[in-house]
Amino acid sequence: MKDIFCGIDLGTTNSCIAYLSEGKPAAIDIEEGAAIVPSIVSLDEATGQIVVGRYARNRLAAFPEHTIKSIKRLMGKEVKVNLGERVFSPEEISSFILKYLVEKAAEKVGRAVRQVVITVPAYFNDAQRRATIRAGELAGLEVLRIINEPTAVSLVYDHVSFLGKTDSPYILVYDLGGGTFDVSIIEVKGEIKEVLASCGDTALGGDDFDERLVGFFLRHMKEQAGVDFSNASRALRVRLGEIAEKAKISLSDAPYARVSEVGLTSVSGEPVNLDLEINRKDYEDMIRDLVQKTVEKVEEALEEANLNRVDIGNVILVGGATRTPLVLETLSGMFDRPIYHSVDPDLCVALGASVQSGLILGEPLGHILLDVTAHSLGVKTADEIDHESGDADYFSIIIRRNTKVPVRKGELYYTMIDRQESVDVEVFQGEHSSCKENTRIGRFLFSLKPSPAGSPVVTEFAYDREGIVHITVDQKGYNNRKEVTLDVRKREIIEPGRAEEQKVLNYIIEKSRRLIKEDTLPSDLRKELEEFTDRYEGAIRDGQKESAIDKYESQLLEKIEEAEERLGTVE
Amino acid sequence: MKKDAMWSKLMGFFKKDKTDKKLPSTKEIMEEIDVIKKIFRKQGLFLDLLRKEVLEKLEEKRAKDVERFFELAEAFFYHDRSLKKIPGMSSSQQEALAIVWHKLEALLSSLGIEIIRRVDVDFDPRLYEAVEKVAEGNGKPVVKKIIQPGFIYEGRIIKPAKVIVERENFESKE
Repeated sequence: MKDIFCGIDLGTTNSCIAYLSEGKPAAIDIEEGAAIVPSIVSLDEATGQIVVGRYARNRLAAFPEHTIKSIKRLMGKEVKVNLGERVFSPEEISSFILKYLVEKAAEKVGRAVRQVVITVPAYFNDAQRRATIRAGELAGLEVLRIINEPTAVSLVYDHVSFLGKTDSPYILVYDLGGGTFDVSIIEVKGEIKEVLASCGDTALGGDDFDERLVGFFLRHMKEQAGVDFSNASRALRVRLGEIAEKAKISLSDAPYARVSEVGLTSVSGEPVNLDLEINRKDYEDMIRDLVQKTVEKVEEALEEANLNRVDIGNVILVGGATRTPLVLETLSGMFDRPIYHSVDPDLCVALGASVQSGLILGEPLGHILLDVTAHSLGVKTADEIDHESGDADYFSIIIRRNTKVPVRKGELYYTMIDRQESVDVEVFQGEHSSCKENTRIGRFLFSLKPSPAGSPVVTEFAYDREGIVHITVDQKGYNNRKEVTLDVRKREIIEPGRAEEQKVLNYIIEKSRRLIKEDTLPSDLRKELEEFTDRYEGAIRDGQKESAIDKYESQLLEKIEEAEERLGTVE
Repeated sequence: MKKDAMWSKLMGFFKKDKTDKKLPSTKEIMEEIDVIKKIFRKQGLFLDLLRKEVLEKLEEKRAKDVERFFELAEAFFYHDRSLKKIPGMSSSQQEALAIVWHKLEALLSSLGIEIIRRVDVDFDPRLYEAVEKVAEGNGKPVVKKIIQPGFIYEGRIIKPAKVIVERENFESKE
């Protein structure tokens, strides 16, 4: 069977492998359904075996003298690494990670892996690059090419079909990982991508965001128990770190995060608990200076490349910490343009490397068709007033354009007057800050319980792949919620129960619509499928004769079969 | 005669009249094949929908439910530990905690969940993640304290327990 061409993101903390599946890059799940593997290697002396990934991470504290992490930092250096009594070079250690990734990938996909593209940071020097090639060779691989991480990322976005082209040849790649921050500016000259500038901070990342939350928890515990826990045991810090990470992830999508933790520690036999709510605003205030530090680095990179903000065509986000809304908002404000965050920021380096392997080997590459929101979705608020009519006219975005679906996002709003009776929830789609310039796609009334002005109301949108938005409005603290379903395509509010009923009844149409969205479907077949689907749907909607519906149904079914055969998706 | 019987078995519903031995016409057979094809196509699509809309959603819901049980078990684990730190806990109070643990673990087990919380056992890196080591020795590492319990769901390790391990010295033990 044919080999697969892989791209490997050989990271400092984690690594990831991706391959081209029918011309499209896909990350491979390696450990328990996860594509991300800790870049940690350990020697199990009892068995004499080298272990990699989670198993090695779990051994790190128990067998520190047999385990190594962050080997990437030593690549290209003439140093030796001891694992127990055995001695290895950094290249050898890296080769163990590469070998583990390709073996697991081959096992998973059922095909051999022999040729790979490996990514390195843009700042890696020649010795570090050569050491990486050597690591690949030691793993028994043919290293097709070593490419810069930001270049790999831009390659993925080259193949994302929704991405509009800009006149500017400059791309800024903002990479905020767990422990490091890198910013690079790339110039695209035809097929060539050149890194013009690259800088960063090796001690700044999402872990620092967690640390700020840990500090906040410790202050809260001090207030509660009257004891300073800042010199807490390792056990308490580990647990607080986990709680902080969970809260951080939660605050990326919701305006509030609830923390309810029992028995963090005890004072004179009394348990110290954490039961609090953090709002996004307070969290953002905690991390604002850290985000500002990254802005300074971005400015530095611009200066190094001799460019201004306006020269940048696209800003691409990489790394899990870029899911923080403040990062997105800061960059959107800074560059005054949409920021794309549609490809998984944790995987896009490896995905890009697999695209590069395909390009080198002349594999046909398809467009990466993503399920993304075509427009920004949000609600009308009174943050701005239309001067002519005196009506509220601010479009407050809840889900940004080009966000990968399914997605769930929430925002916090406040009532305007005491004892406000209701909120007129008007849902809009578009990109303008004025609702008048956008399209209203739904409207409903939410009755409020008597409360003072400024009472919080959380509005949450859950957007699914079928273009349905489940909206939840919650008057916080008053046990008052309303759930509404909105069909974005039809621009109508669906009564409770009707949405599910419609889906089940129209499963043939559902299937057809899914096929129509397939990027590789030939255009003539797509057109026919659209035509047949509309005719069949129309016949049902208009209550035409059974014989006519039956005829259209048969025609549509045949067309679906034909499309499936052409796409090779028949199971 | 035998040939007719075969037709009768395969395409039985063509035979409106059992005495009618006439074979169906090619047109009738083709029509019937079309009907059967259509049924298969619809069935295929329906199964596809069933898998996507029902089974996948059920699995998603189940995963969310399981997550809630993890949270509950974790909260009880910490609560148990806090209670045990209160000086002067009576033996019946301790017994009560053990009973609740027993019931909780039975419930979790019925859902395919197992909580990893055992101490004083050999350190197994599949089940435990060591975050700290106390006592340097040459013996096998042993789990001394659970910092955060782990979970196994339907035989898969969802989360290893975070633990403090101890490596005692063989000689000092002897």
